[in-house]
Amino acid sequence: MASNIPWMTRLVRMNCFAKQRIYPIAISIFQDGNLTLNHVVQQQRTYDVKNDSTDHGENFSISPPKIENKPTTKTITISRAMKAYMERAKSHDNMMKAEVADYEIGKRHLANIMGEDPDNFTQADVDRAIEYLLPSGLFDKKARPLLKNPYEIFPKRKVAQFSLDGRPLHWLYFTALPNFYSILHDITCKMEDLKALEDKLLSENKTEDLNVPPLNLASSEWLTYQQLKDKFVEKVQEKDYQHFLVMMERLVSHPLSHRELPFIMAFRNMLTNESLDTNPPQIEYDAEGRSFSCAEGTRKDSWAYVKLYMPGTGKVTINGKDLSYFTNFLYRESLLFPLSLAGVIGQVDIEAEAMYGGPTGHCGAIRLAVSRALCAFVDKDVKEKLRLTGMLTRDPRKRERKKPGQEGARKKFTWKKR
Amino acid sequence: MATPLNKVYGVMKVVLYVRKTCPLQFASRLNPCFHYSLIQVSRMSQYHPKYVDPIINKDELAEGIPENDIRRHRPIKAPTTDRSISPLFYDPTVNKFTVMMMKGGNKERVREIMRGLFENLKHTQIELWNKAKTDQERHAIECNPIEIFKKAIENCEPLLMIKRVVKGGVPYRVPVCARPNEKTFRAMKWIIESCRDKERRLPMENKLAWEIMDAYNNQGKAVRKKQEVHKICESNRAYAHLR
Repeated sequence: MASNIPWMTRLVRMNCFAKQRIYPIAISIFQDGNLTLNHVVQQQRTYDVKNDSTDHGENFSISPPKIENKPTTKTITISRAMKAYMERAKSHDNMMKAEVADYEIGKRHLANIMGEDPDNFTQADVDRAIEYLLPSGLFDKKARPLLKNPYEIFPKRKVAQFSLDGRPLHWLYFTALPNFYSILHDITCKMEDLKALEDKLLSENKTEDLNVPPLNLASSEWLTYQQLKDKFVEKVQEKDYQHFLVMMERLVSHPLSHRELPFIMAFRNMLTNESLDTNPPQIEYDAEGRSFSCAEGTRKDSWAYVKLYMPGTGKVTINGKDLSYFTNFLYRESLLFPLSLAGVIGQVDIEAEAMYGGPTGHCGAIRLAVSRALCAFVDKDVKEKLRLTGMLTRDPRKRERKKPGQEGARKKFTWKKR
Repeated sequence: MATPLNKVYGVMKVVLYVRKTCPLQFASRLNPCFHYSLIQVSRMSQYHPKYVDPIINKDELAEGIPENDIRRHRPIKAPTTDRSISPLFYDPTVNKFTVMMMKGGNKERVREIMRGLFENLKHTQIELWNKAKTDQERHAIECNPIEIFKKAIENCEPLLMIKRVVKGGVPYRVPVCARPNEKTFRAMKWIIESCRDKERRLPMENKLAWEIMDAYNNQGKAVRKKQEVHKICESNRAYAHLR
């Protein structure tokens, strides 16, 4: 009866399958494989995931399969995954070896072309030689020709994440992003610990431990998305990166977060102190013994060159004219900004030469050049003030281009229905 | 403000809160590790988001910035040409008014008008001052044209504005509370518009001076405009709940 109705048949068949479920039998596929442990040790990868966080006591490197280094004659079984991995690794290593050999030969060729010693030809020399021999006008730096160590160019790879018998080493292996998720897990654990500690301190009325100044993290910033991916050697998604940031911010905003400072700093880039890296122009002396400094400035399309005499009388010369070179009062006032800030109005002489562009550009370029030239004479505090007011920054704003299909940069044509 | 925010562990909350209320440099002050990728930045800005606004205030500069200030480690934006550190040359209200009055990018013409305006105001007040008999009268006369200008704008600022809300296909004129920026904008707009009539062919600075003196004394077209708006709001107060 059942066979008359097709779906019923199927049901019956399924039922019968449910009863006699077939279980995969563990059969070792490489029973006759003659690979010994010594053999495996020889095939270990020679380079490892770069461990750059040892300073903070954190270890993100992936430990290779643990193999006791005792020589033994006993044959062991190696899982198919491990075998495939070893083949992959071997071919990759061979490929890299060939690439490195090519690189070394290329370097020597370059050195010979440049007429320099091939044995002492450094990477800096290579870059210089390539820039000289193959000048490229391409805007994107990635599109320009380069010759670099293959290990810098080819993406890093993880060593085997599983042991010889094919079992994963990491407990988060099946998340596909074990390093990333273990860090998220760490953050959560640390957060919970801090919360518990805070509760404990509060219950014991130890408020002085809680009222510590907040972490000074202004001097650093979070690793970028790319850096994080490189650090973990995992394909972390952009949204996961944002999630990571949010979790880290949460940890940082905890009043006791200073206890986890090394952990936090492992994920931050140190920033340079902007006030330190100003490179002031030198003080020079002319034939009459007057001290002056020179600087260049740009704004929009304009370019200006300024000679600033420090003990002066407030004389200003722009392209052979005095301050009346600018008909607009606005520009004259603008020129006074750095001088007024440094408190040297009437104490300096300015000789400026401005080219290209219009008066606004000239004024901005001269202002920048004057500020830069002033740095040679003023002390550190004033220099810092000049920086904080943005006087030493080149204004990057330019005329916005006209767009096709539009009347101007933003303006649209009058809309007509037909 | 900083303490309760530090207590909030959910940084998203802080971020959202900060995003609504304060610009980047204050956000970074509240939370020193504030990450700029978490906030939306101006789309067309020529500056990289890591650039922060300059400090254009002599007092603040003299005070110095604290050790954990983000500006120690970030590049600073260059101030625009019309910004100046000297209070003699720069006032935010005056600058805003100048820019609003400008036509076709001719700023120098407007600045000329503004100079004329302040001169006229000063003359009027000095005349009054000279005519005054007693010290008490003289004391009551404000001779600083910038103060007069600001007071006039303040007098023209509406408290309420009308907003058109469509509910069930029927448009309602709903009175809403005017935001500070909107208030100033309206006040300035009304003052400028009232001086731009075609009938009296007089220099703009004269017309402006009269209008501003009127507004200073709570009279004139711009103040009347404000009162009209208030009246409309009053008559539509029944719809106030619709906003």
